[in-house]
Amino acid sequence: MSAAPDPLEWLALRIALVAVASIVAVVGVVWKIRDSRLPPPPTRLEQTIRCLHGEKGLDVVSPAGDPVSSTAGDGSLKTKVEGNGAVVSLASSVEQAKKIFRYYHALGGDLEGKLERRGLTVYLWERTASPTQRQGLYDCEY
Amino acid sequence: MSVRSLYGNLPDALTTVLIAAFSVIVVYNAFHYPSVSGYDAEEHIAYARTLVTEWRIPTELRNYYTPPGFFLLAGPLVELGGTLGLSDVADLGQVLDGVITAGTAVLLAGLCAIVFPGRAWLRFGAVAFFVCCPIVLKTATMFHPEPLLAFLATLGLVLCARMLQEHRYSLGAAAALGVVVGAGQLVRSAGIWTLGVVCLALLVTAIARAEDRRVVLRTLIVVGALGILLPLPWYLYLGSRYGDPIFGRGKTSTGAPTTQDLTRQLAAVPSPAPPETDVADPSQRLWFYVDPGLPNVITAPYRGALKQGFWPLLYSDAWGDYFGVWKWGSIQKPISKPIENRLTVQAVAGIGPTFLAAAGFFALAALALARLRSRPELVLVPLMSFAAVAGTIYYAHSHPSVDGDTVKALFLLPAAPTLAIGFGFAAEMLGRRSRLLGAVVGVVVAVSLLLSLAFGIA
Repeated sequence: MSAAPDPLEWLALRIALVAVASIVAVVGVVWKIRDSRLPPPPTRLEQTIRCLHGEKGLDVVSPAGDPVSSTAGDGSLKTKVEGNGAVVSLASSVEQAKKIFRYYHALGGDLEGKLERRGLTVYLWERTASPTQRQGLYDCEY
Repeated sequence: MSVRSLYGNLPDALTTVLIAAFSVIVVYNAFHYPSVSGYDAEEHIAYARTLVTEWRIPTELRNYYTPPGFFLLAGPLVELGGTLGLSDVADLGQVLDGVITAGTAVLLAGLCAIVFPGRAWLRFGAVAFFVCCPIVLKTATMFHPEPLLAFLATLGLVLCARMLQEHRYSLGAAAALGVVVGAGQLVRSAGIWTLGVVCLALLVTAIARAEDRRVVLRTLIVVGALGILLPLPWYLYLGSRYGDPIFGRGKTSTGAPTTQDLTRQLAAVPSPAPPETDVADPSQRLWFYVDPGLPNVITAPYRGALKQGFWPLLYSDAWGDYFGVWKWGSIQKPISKPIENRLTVQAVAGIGPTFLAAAGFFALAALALARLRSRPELVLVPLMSFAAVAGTIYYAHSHPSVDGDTVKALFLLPAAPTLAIGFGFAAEMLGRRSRLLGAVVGVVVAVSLLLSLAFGIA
């Protein structure tokens, strides 16, 4: 037979349950407010620019006049690694990246060593890229 | 046997089965879980071996400030493991931790019987929480001094609670309690919290019970004196040699990182969120102690993905494997989607039991304050939980670490039995108020705890 509890026990537990639930709710609300006030996380384009310009010291500009790269959902940029210019297209899906790759191929003819797709990113080099030039851009792939 | 008496014996039978199952699991784990995988295991094993083979404190190791109590027991077992030709020589040391933790579960049942006599379902709930909680299972499997500290802390609480409840303040009982709380400090310096809890409970009793005041104060002096004198040589050694009697060289990190540290760091998954660089150490910001860690505390509760926050880190380590020492990590396997999913299941499974344990803690704190005169032994339960949490917060703040290494659920282990009593109390009271509510809560926590028990099998 189980012993009878102290009459105060149930009262104490009820108050404690409400207190803990209130603490959880308040912390949740505070978190939500704080979270909504935080700046949104950087986009892929921002991360890539921050890496190329901030960490590698490369000049980054908009690839004006390139109708193919402008279709990239996550943005595009133009830079120069070891004297070799490159347009970087940040597709928002693999299908889109494949499409950009196909368009470049259709318009540019033989692009051996100049055109490359890695996941969601398409690289178009002015001249055949060396391994170190490629690695320079791979390092900033997001 | 009538149905009524069968029902009456059921919780005690289930408690026995749980402790037996726990014992089998931890012994199995000891021989299947690599000893070097545990928290700081390489250093602990090296300490134990150096101590028993060279009879000196290994000052060259990073854990040189840890008292030698556990290593004196575990060291010979490591040597025996080598003599027996075990492939993992520290296996027997792990078995020791498993046996000690099973002993703590038995002491927990005893503590419940003293603080809540005749409440068999409460006792069962508390033991179920304790043996199923992953941090208890993980540490019972590892080669680590903390389980011995938890055992001695719980033994101290049992001795003190019995003394207060039965008004038995003999010199022998006081001396035994003093020796136990003193011995705890010779295992881990955090044992000093148990001494504080026991002394505070005696002091409060002396104030609340005028008729017992003289004998309680005499007991307090004996317990305090023995509790300080026993570990004093160790404190003097650390203080005279390094200038800090608790942490040796204090806040400065010493010693080179181990291979395990480096491989763990390399294995860490890059954080999807940009690092906050405004303050070097997150534990120095107030938000660190308030941040609920949402949503990653549920969706990605592991090092690298979950941003550091005091409570999310403790929670993820207690119910899952934040640091990558159990189901994933450099020694086990890299984090993967199935492992992440399992960790998420654990994060969800821990919600119900944690909520009830927290509510039980607050309720018992209020109850203890209201019943100081009639039930002074009750104050030990919330006080021990509070001391462990306060100690963990203090350690996190005073010993900053860039990777959250100074916030581990492991540090709450001495309070796991009292937190478990909070859970058992809340669950049993809900069951008493309404059968339907009791059934719903019972099913939810039973599923949660069984999932956790399964997670705790190596």
